[in-house]
Amino acid sequence: MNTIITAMHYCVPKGRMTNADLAERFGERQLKAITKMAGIEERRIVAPGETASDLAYWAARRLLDDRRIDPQRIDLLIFASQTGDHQIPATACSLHGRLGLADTCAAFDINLGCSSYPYSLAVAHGMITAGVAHRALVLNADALSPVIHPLDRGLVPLHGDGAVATLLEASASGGGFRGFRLGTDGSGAQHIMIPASGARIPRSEATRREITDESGIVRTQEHLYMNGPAVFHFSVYKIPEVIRQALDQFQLTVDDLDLVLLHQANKTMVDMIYRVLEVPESKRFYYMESVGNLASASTPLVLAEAWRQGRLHPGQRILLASFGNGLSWGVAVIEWPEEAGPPVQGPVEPGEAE
Amino acid sequence: MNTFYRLQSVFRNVFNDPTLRISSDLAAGAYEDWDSVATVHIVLATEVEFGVRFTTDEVGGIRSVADIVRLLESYAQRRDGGAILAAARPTPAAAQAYEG
Repeated sequence: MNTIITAMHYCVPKGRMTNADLAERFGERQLKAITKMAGIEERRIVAPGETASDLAYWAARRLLDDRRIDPQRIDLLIFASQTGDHQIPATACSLHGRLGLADTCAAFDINLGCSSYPYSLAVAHGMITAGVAHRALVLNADALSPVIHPLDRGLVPLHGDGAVATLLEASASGGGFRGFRLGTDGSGAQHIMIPASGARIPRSEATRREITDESGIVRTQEHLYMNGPAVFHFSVYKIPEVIRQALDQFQLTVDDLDLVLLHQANKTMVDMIYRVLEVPESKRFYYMESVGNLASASTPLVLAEAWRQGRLHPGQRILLASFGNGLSWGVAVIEWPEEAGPPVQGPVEPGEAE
Repeated sequence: MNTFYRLQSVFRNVFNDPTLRISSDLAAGAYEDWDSVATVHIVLATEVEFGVRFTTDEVGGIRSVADIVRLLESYAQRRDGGAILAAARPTPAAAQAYEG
Protein backbone atom coordinates (compact mmCIF):
# COMPACT_ATOMS: atom_id res chain seq x y z
CA MET A 1 0.00 0.00 0.00
CA ASN A 2 1.20 3.52 -0.73
CA THR A 3 -0.01 7.03 0.01
CA ILE A 4 -0.99 9.49 -2.68
CA ILE A 5 -1.80 13.18 -2.84
CA THR A 6 -5.37 13.48 -4.10
CA ALA A 7 -6.09 17.19 -3.64
CA MET A 8 -4.42 20.48 -2.78
CA HIS A 9 -5.59 24.04 -2.25
CA TYR A 10 -3.94 27.16 -0.99
CA CYS A 11 -4.79 30.46 0.59
CA VAL A 12 -2.90 33.74 0.51
CA PRO A 13 -4.01 36.82 2.44
CA LYS A 14 -5.53 39.83 0.74
CA GLY A 15 -2.81 42.26 1.79
CA ARG A 16 -0.11 43.03 -0.77
CA MET A 17 3.32 44.55 -0.31
CA THR A 18 5.05 45.49 -3.55
CA ASN A 19 8.63 46.48 -4.21
CA ALA A 20 7.39 50.04 -4.67
CA ASP A 21 5.95 49.92 -1.12
CA LEU A 22 9.30 48.67 0.15
CA ALA A 23 11.20 51.39 -1.69
CA GLU A 24 9.10 53.98 0.13
CA ARG A 25 9.96 52.38 3.46
CA PHE A 26 13.65 51.64 2.96
CA GLY A 27 14.78 53.72 -0.03
CA GLU A 28 15.65 52.41 -3.51
CA ARG A 29 19.37 52.15 -2.85
CA GLN A 30 18.99 50.02 0.26
CA LEU A 31 16.70 47.58 -1.52
CA LYS A 32 18.45 47.20 -4.83
CA ALA A 33 20.71 44.30 -3.90
CA ILE A 34 18.18 42.24 -1.99
CA THR A 35 15.33 42.61 -4.46
CA LYS A 36 17.67 41.67 -7.31
CA MET A 37 18.83 38.60 -5.40
CA ALA A 38 15.35 37.57 -4.25
CA GLY A 39 13.45 37.76 -7.54
CA ILE A 40 10.33 38.72 -5.61
CA GLU A 41 8.07 41.55 -6.80
CA GLU A 42 5.16 41.29 -4.38
CA ARG A 43 4.39 39.63 -1.05
CA ARG A 44 0.98 38.67 0.35
CA ILE A 45 0.69 39.86 3.94
CA VAL A 46 -1.82 39.06 6.70
CA ALA A 47 -4.03 41.77 8.15
CA PRO A 48 -3.64 42.70 11.84
CA GLY A 49 -5.09 39.84 13.90
CA GLU A 50 -5.10 37.40 10.99
CA THR A 51 -2.99 34.29 11.61
CA ALA A 52 -1.42 31.38 9.77
CA SER A 53 -4.19 29.14 11.08
CA ASP A 54 -6.82 31.42 9.54
CA LEU A 55 -5.17 30.96 6.15
CA ALA A 56 -4.90 27.22 6.74
CA TYR A 57 -8.57 27.09 7.68
CA TRP A 58 -9.63 28.69 4.39
CA ALA A 59 -7.34 26.47 2.33
CA ALA A 60 -8.75 23.40 4.08
CA ARG A 61 -12.36 24.56 3.76
CA ARG A 62 -11.91 25.17 0.05
CA LEU A 63 -10.35 21.74 -0.41
CA LEU A 64 -13.11 19.95 1.51
CA ASP A 65 -15.87 21.91 -0.23
CA ASP A 66 -14.48 21.50 -3.75
CA ARG A 67 -13.94 17.77 -3.37
CA ARG A 68 -17.19 17.35 -1.44
CA ILE A 69 -15.38 15.55 1.34
CA ASP A 70 -17.27 15.04 4.57
CA PRO A 71 -15.01 16.50 7.31
CA GLN A 72 -16.01 13.53 9.47
CA ARG A 73 -14.04 11.28 7.12
CA ILE A 74 -10.70 12.96 7.87
CA ASP A 75 -8.88 10.95 10.53
CA LEU A 76 -5.53 12.79 10.69
CA LEU A 77 -4.90 16.52 10.80
CA ILE A 78 -1.33 17.87 10.81
CA PHE A 79 -0.62 21.59 11.11
CA ALA A 80 3.01 22.33 10.21
CA SER A 81 4.06 25.85 11.10
CA GLN A 82 6.23 28.00 13.34
CA THR A 83 3.64 30.71 13.72
CA GLY A 84 0.90 28.90 15.58
CA ASP A 85 -1.87 30.66 17.45
CA HIS A 86 -0.72 29.85 20.99
CA GLN A 87 2.08 28.04 22.77
CA ILE A 88 -0.66 25.87 24.30
CA PRO A 89 -2.68 24.15 22.79
CA ALA A 90 -1.49 22.81 19.47
CA THR A 91 -2.99 24.92 16.70
CA ALA A 92 -4.05 21.68 14.96
CA CYS A 93 -6.51 21.15 17.82
CA SER A 94 -8.11 24.58 17.29
CA LEU A 95 -8.30 23.92 13.54
CA HIS A 96 -9.85 20.53 14.23
CA GLY A 97 -12.67 22.29 16.05
CA ARG A 98 -13.10 25.04 13.44
CA LEU A 99 -13.22 22.52 10.60
CA GLY A 100 -15.73 20.30 12.40
CA LEU A 101 -13.61 17.15 12.26
CA ALA A 102 -14.57 13.94 14.06
CA ASP A 103 -13.38 13.10 17.56
CA THR A 104 -11.70 10.04 16.04
CA CYS A 105 -9.36 12.35 14.10
CA ALA A 106 -5.82 12.73 15.46
CA ALA A 107 -4.57 16.32 15.37
CA PHE A 108 -1.12 17.64 16.17
CA ASP A 109 1.43 20.26 15.13
CA ILE A 110 4.83 19.87 13.52
CA ASN A 111 7.03 22.73 14.62
CA LEU A 112 9.25 23.25 11.59
CA GLY A 113 9.52 26.11 9.14
CA CYS A 114 10.72 26.02 5.54
CA SER A 115 11.68 22.34 5.74
CA SER A 116 8.29 21.18 7.05
CA TYR A 117 6.62 19.80 3.92
CA PRO A 118 8.66 16.60 3.46
CA TYR A 119 8.44 16.02 7.22
CA SER A 120 4.67 16.40 7.33
CA LEU A 121 4.26 14.21 4.24
CA ALA A 122 6.55 11.55 5.75
CA VAL A 123 4.63 11.52 9.03
CA ALA A 124 1.24 11.32 7.30
CA HIS A 125 2.53 8.64 4.91
CA GLY A 126 3.94 6.64 7.82
CA MET A 127 0.69 6.80 9.77
CA ILE A 128 -1.40 5.86 6.74
CA THR A 129 0.78 2.93 5.70
CA ALA A 130 0.84 1.75 9.35
CA GLY A 131 -2.97 1.72 9.33
CA VAL A 132 -3.23 4.41 12.00
CA ALA A 133 -5.03 6.78 9.61
CA HIS A 134 -6.71 6.52 6.24
CA ARG A 135 -7.24 10.09 5.06
CA ALA A 136 -4.91 12.87 6.21
CA LEU A 137 -5.28 16.61 5.88
CA VAL A 138 -1.85 18.25 6.03
CA LEU A 139 -1.85 22.01 6.52
CA ASN A 140 1.43 23.87 5.98
CA ALA A 141 1.11 27.52 6.93
CA ASP A 142 3.12 30.46 8.17
CA ALA A 143 2.50 34.12 8.73
CA LEU A 144 5.97 35.49 9.34
CA SER A 145 5.20 39.12 8.56
CA PRO A 146 3.98 39.88 12.12
CA VAL A 147 7.20 38.48 13.62
CA ILE A 148 9.55 40.36 11.29
CA HIS A 149 10.49 43.86 12.43
CA PRO A 150 9.01 46.30 9.89
CA LEU A 151 12.45 47.97 9.54
CA ASP A 152 14.35 44.72 8.93
CA ARG A 153 15.38 45.40 5.35
CA GLY A 154 16.97 41.97 5.12
CA LEU A 155 13.84 39.94 5.88
CA VAL A 156 10.83 42.13 5.01
CA PRO A 157 11.59 41.93 1.25
CA LEU A 158 11.83 38.15 1.32
CA HIS A 159 8.79 36.85 3.14
CA GLY A 160 5.09 36.58 2.49
CA ASP A 161 2.34 34.72 4.33
CA GLY A 162 0.30 31.76 3.12
CA ALA A 163 -1.12 28.30 3.71
CA VAL A 164 -1.49 25.13 1.69
CA ALA A 165 -3.81 22.18 2.35
CA THR A 166 -2.83 18.74 1.04
CA LEU A 167 -5.10 15.70 1.17
CA LEU A 168 -3.36 12.34 1.41
CA GLU A 169 -5.07 9.00 1.04
CA ALA A 170 -4.11 5.34 0.98
CA SER A 171 -3.84 3.77 -2.44
CA ALA A 172 -3.27 0.20 -3.54
CA SER A 173 -2.45 1.15 -7.12
CA GLY A 174 0.77 2.62 -8.53
CA GLY A 175 2.25 5.98 -7.74
CA GLY A 176 2.75 7.79 -4.50
CA PHE A 177 5.81 8.35 -2.39
CA ARG A 178 9.03 6.72 -3.57
CA GLY A 179 10.77 7.77 -0.37
CA PHE A 180 12.03 10.49 1.94
CA ARG A 181 15.41 11.66 3.17
CA LEU A 182 15.31 13.95 6.19
CA GLY A 183 18.13 15.58 8.14
CA THR A 184 19.22 18.19 10.63
CA ASP A 185 22.33 20.15 11.62
CA GLY A 186 21.38 21.50 15.01
CA SER A 187 24.78 23.15 15.43
CA GLY A 188 23.37 25.89 13.19
CA ALA A 189 20.14 26.42 15.12
CA GLN A 190 21.17 29.94 16.12
CA HIS A 191 21.32 31.16 12.52
CA ILE A 192 17.53 31.52 12.18
CA MET A 193 15.51 32.12 15.31
CA ILE A 194 13.27 34.36 17.34
CA PRO A 195 15.41 34.59 20.48
CA ALA A 196 12.70 35.70 22.93
CA SER A 197 9.85 33.45 21.88
CA GLY A 198 9.74 30.70 24.47
CA ALA A 199 11.07 29.54 27.81
CA ARG A 200 14.78 30.15 27.16
CA ILE A 201 14.56 33.94 26.99
CA PRO A 202 11.29 35.14 28.56
CA ARG A 203 9.86 38.30 27.04
CA SER A 204 10.59 41.46 28.96
CA GLU A 205 11.21 45.17 28.55
CA ALA A 206 14.79 44.29 27.52
CA THR A 207 13.69 41.91 24.77
CA ARG A 208 11.50 44.65 23.28
CA ARG A 209 14.46 47.02 22.89
CA GLU A 210 15.37 47.77 19.27
CA ILE A 211 18.84 46.86 18.06
CA THR A 212 20.45 48.06 14.81
CA ASP A 213 23.13 45.71 13.55
CA GLU A 214 26.28 46.58 11.58
CA SER A 215 24.45 46.46 8.26
CA GLY A 216 21.63 48.71 9.41
CA ILE A 217 19.02 46.02 10.05
CA VAL A 218 16.64 46.84 12.90
CA ARG A 219 15.00 44.23 15.11
CA THR A 220 14.28 43.27 18.71
CA GLN A 221 14.83 39.91 20.37
CA GLU A 222 11.13 39.26 19.85
CA HIS A 223 11.50 39.40 16.08
CA LEU A 224 12.79 36.88 13.61
CA TYR A 225 16.56 36.92 13.19
CA MET A 226 18.37 35.34 10.26
CA ASN A 227 22.07 35.33 9.54
CA GLY A 228 21.51 35.62 5.81
CA PRO A 229 25.04 34.85 4.56
CA ALA A 230 25.36 31.77 6.81
CA VAL A 231 21.97 30.41 5.74
CA PHE A 232 22.63 31.11 2.06
CA HIS A 233 25.99 29.36 2.27
CA PHE A 234 24.51 26.35 4.09
CA SER A 235 21.74 26.04 1.52
CA VAL A 236 23.83 26.18 -1.63
CA TYR A 237 26.31 23.59 -0.34
CA LYS A 238 24.21 21.26 1.79
CA ILE A 239 21.04 20.96 -0.25
CA PRO A 240 22.65 19.77 -3.50
CA GLU A 241 24.60 17.25 -1.42
CA VAL A 242 21.45 15.99 0.30
CA ILE A 243 19.54 15.76 -2.99
CA ARG A 244 22.38 13.70 -4.48
CA GLN A 245 22.28 11.40 -1.42
CA ALA A 246 18.52 11.00 -1.83
CA LEU A 247 18.87 10.19 -5.53
CA ASP A 248 21.52 7.57 -4.69
CA GLN A 249 19.27 6.15 -1.98
CA PHE A 250 16.37 5.79 -4.42
CA GLN A 251 18.67 4.65 -7.27
CA LEU A 252 17.72 7.61 -9.43
CA THR A 253 19.52 10.37 -11.29
CA VAL A 254 18.35 13.83 -12.34
CA ASP A 255 17.64 12.28 -15.75
CA ASP A 256 15.01 10.07 -14.11
CA LEU A 257 13.13 13.07 -12.70
CA ASP A 258 10.47 15.05 -14.53
CA LEU A 259 10.40 18.01 -12.16
CA VAL A 260 12.65 19.27 -9.34
CA LEU A 261 10.81 21.57 -6.95
CA LEU A 262 12.78 23.50 -4.33
CA HIS A 263 11.83 25.60 -1.33
CA GLN A 264 11.29 29.06 -2.81
CA ALA A 265 13.73 30.87 -0.54
CA ASN A 266 14.92 33.32 -3.16
CA LYS A 267 15.57 33.13 -6.89
CA THR A 268 19.35 33.34 -6.70
CA MET A 269 19.62 30.50 -4.20
CA VAL A 270 17.19 28.28 -6.09
CA ASP A 271 19.05 28.89 -9.35
CA MET A 272 22.39 28.07 -7.76
CA ILE A 273 21.09 24.75 -6.45
CA TYR A 274 19.67 23.93 -9.88
CA ARG A 275 23.01 24.77 -11.51
CA VAL A 276 25.06 22.70 -9.06
CA LEU A 277 22.78 19.71 -9.73
CA GLU A 278 22.72 20.42 -13.47
CA VAL A 279 18.94 20.37 -13.54
CA PRO A 280 17.83 21.32 -17.06
CA GLU A 281 15.55 24.31 -17.52
CA SER A 282 12.69 22.03 -18.55
CA LYS A 283 12.67 20.42 -15.08
CA ARG A 284 12.77 23.66 -13.11
CA PHE A 285 9.78 25.51 -11.73
CA TYR A 286 9.48 28.70 -9.68
CA TYR A 287 6.69 30.35 -7.78
CA MET A 288 7.78 33.18 -5.52
CA GLU A 289 7.69 36.35 -7.61
CA SER A 290 4.11 37.27 -6.68
CA VAL A 291 3.92 35.82 -3.15
CA GLY A 292 7.39 35.80 -1.56
CA ASN A 293 9.03 33.09 0.51
CA LEU A 294 6.15 31.47 2.41
CA ALA A 295 8.29 29.44 4.85
CA SER A 296 6.32 26.30 5.78
CA ALA A 297 3.89 26.85 2.88
CA SER A 298 6.62 27.49 0.31
CA THR A 299 7.33 23.98 -1.03
CA PRO A 300 3.70 22.78 -1.05
CA LEU A 301 2.72 25.99 -2.81
CA VAL A 302 5.23 25.42 -5.60
CA LEU A 303 3.88 21.86 -5.96
CA ALA A 304 0.28 23.14 -6.02
CA GLU A 305 1.14 25.76 -8.62
CA ALA A 306 2.96 23.23 -10.78
CA TRP A 307 -0.20 21.12 -10.62
CA ARG A 308 -2.45 24.11 -11.38
CA GLN A 309 -0.29 25.13 -14.34
CA GLY A 310 -0.49 21.66 -15.89
CA ARG A 311 3.08 20.60 -15.13
CA LEU A 312 2.12 17.42 -13.23
CA HIS A 313 0.95 14.32 -15.06
CA PRO A 314 0.36 10.74 -13.90
CA GLY A 315 3.49 8.66 -13.92
CA GLN A 316 5.84 11.63 -13.62
CA ARG A 317 8.55 11.54 -10.99
CA ILE A 318 8.86 14.71 -8.91
CA LEU A 319 11.55 15.57 -6.39
CA LEU A 320 10.72 18.05 -3.62
CA ALA A 321 13.46 19.56 -1.45
CA SER A 322 12.82 21.85 1.50
CA PHE A 323 15.33 23.45 3.85
CA GLY A 324 15.49 26.10 6.48
CA ASN A 325 15.79 26.85 10.14
CA GLY A 326 16.98 24.14 12.45
CA LEU A 327 19.06 23.88 10.35
CA SER A 328 16.76 21.29 8.85
CA TRP A 329 16.07 19.75 5.47
CA GLY A 330 13.97 17.12 3.77
CA VAL A 331 13.68 15.54 0.34
CA ALA A 332 10.69 13.61 -0.99
CA VAL A 333 10.32 11.79 -4.28
CA ILE A 334 6.78 11.38 -5.55
CA GLU A 335 5.47 9.39 -8.48
CA TRP A 336 2.42 11.37 -9.51
CA PRO A 337 -0.57 9.04 -9.26
CA GLU A 338 -3.32 8.25 -11.75
CA GLU A 339 -5.90 8.84 -9.01
CA ALA A 340 -4.88 12.41 -8.27
CA GLY A 341 -7.97 14.53 -8.71
CA PRO A 342 -8.37 17.48 -11.06
CA PRO A 343 -5.71 20.19 -10.82
CA VAL A 344 -5.70 22.77 -8.09
CA GLN A 345 -7.81 25.85 -8.78
CA GLY A 346 -6.42 29.33 -8.19
CA PRO A 347 -5.67 30.61 -4.72
CA VAL A 348 -8.44 31.31 -2.25
CA GLU A 349 -8.38 34.44 -0.11
CA PRO A 350 -9.72 34.42 3.45
CA GLY A 351 -13.51 34.37 3.44
CA GLU A 352 -13.88 33.22 -0.18
CA ALA A 353 -14.82 29.67 0.60
CA GLU A 354 -18.01 30.48 2.49
CA MET B 1 50.24 38.17 -5.08
CA ASN B 2 49.56 38.15 -1.39
CA THR B 3 46.29 37.36 0.30
CA PHE B 4 45.36 40.96 0.86
CA TYR B 5 45.77 42.05 -2.75
CA ARG B 6 43.87 39.00 -4.04
CA LEU B 7 41.10 39.81 -1.61
CA GLN B 8 41.10 43.41 -2.76
CA SER B 9 40.54 42.14 -6.29
CA VAL B 10 37.56 40.12 -5.02
CA PHE B 11 36.08 43.21 -3.37
CA ARG B 12 36.64 45.34 -6.48
CA ASN B 13 34.78 42.79 -8.59
CA VAL B 14 31.94 42.36 -6.09
CA PHE B 15 31.39 46.09 -5.67
CA ASN B 16 32.21 46.84 -9.31
CA ASP B 17 34.67 49.51 -8.20
CA PRO B 18 38.17 49.16 -9.73
CA THR B 19 39.55 51.86 -7.45
CA LEU B 20 38.33 50.36 -4.17
CA ARG B 21 41.11 50.02 -1.63
CA ILE B 22 40.38 47.69 1.26
CA SER B 23 41.88 47.75 4.71
CA SER B 24 41.68 45.30 7.59
CA ASP B 25 39.17 47.41 9.40
CA LEU B 26 36.80 47.75 6.43
CA ALA B 27 33.55 46.30 7.76
CA ALA B 28 29.92 45.73 6.87
CA GLY B 29 28.07 48.90 7.72
CA ALA B 30 31.12 51.14 7.48
CA TYR B 31 31.03 50.70 3.70
CA GLU B 32 27.56 51.63 2.53
CA ASP B 33 27.21 48.92 -0.12
CA TRP B 34 28.34 46.11 2.17
CA ASP B 35 25.07 44.54 3.28
CA SER B 36 24.19 40.88 3.87
CA VAL B 37 23.75 40.25 0.13
CA ALA B 38 27.21 41.69 -0.49
CA THR B 39 28.61 39.36 2.17
CA VAL B 40 27.21 36.40 0.23
CA HIS B 41 28.88 37.71 -2.97
CA ILE B 42 32.18 38.26 -1.13
CA VAL B 43 32.17 34.82 0.47
CA LEU B 44 31.45 32.93 -2.73
CA ALA B 45 33.92 34.97 -4.78
CA THR B 46 36.58 34.50 -2.10
CA GLU B 47 35.98 30.74 -2.13
CA VAL B 48 36.50 30.68 -5.89
CA GLU B 49 39.60 32.89 -5.74
CA PHE B 50 41.31 30.97 -2.93
CA GLY B 51 39.90 27.48 -3.54
CA VAL B 52 38.53 27.13 -0.03
CA ARG B 53 35.14 26.22 1.38
CA PHE B 54 34.17 28.04 4.54
CA THR B 55 31.87 26.47 7.11
CA THR B 56 28.41 27.86 7.84
CA ASP B 57 29.55 29.19 11.21
CA GLU B 58 32.60 30.84 9.69
CA VAL B 59 30.44 32.60 7.12
CA GLY B 60 28.04 33.61 9.89
CA GLY B 61 30.88 35.35 11.73
CA ILE B 62 32.21 37.46 8.84
CA ARG B 63 31.83 41.17 9.58
CA SER B 64 35.04 42.68 8.19
CA VAL B 65 38.02 42.26 5.89
CA ALA B 66 40.05 41.26 8.93
CA ASP B 67 37.64 38.38 9.59
CA ILE B 68 38.14 37.04 6.06
CA VAL B 69 41.91 37.40 6.17
CA ARG B 70 41.99 35.58 9.49
CA LEU B 71 39.96 32.71 8.02
CA LEU B 72 42.11 32.48 4.92
CA GLU B 73 45.27 32.40 7.01
CA SER B 74 43.88 29.65 9.19
CA TYR B 75 43.04 27.62 6.06
CA ALA B 76 46.54 28.22 4.72
CA GLN B 77 48.10 26.93 7.91
CA ARG B 78 45.96 23.83 7.69
CA ARG B 79 47.03 23.15 4.11
CA ASP B 80 50.74 22.86 3.42
CA GLY B 81 51.94 25.97 5.06
CA GLY B 82 50.34 28.49 2.78
CA ALA B 83 50.36 26.79 -0.63
CA ILE B 84 46.71 27.64 -0.91
CA LEU B 85 47.49 31.30 -1.01
CA ALA B 86 49.89 30.97 -3.90
CA ALA B 87 48.23 28.61 -6.33
CA ALA B 88 44.92 28.19 -8.08
CA ARG B 89 42.82 25.42 -6.52
CA PRO B 90 39.73 23.54 -7.66
CA THR B 91 36.82 25.78 -6.78
CA PRO B 92 33.92 24.57 -4.65
CA ALA B 93 30.99 23.49 -6.81
CA ALA B 94 28.45 25.82 -5.26
CA ALA B 95 30.73 28.82 -5.56
CA GLN B 96 31.38 27.94 -9.20
CA ALA B 97 27.65 27.94 -9.81
CA TYR B 98 27.36 31.46 -8.52
CA GLU B 99 26.84 34.07 -11.19
CA GLY B 100 26.42 37.09 -8.97
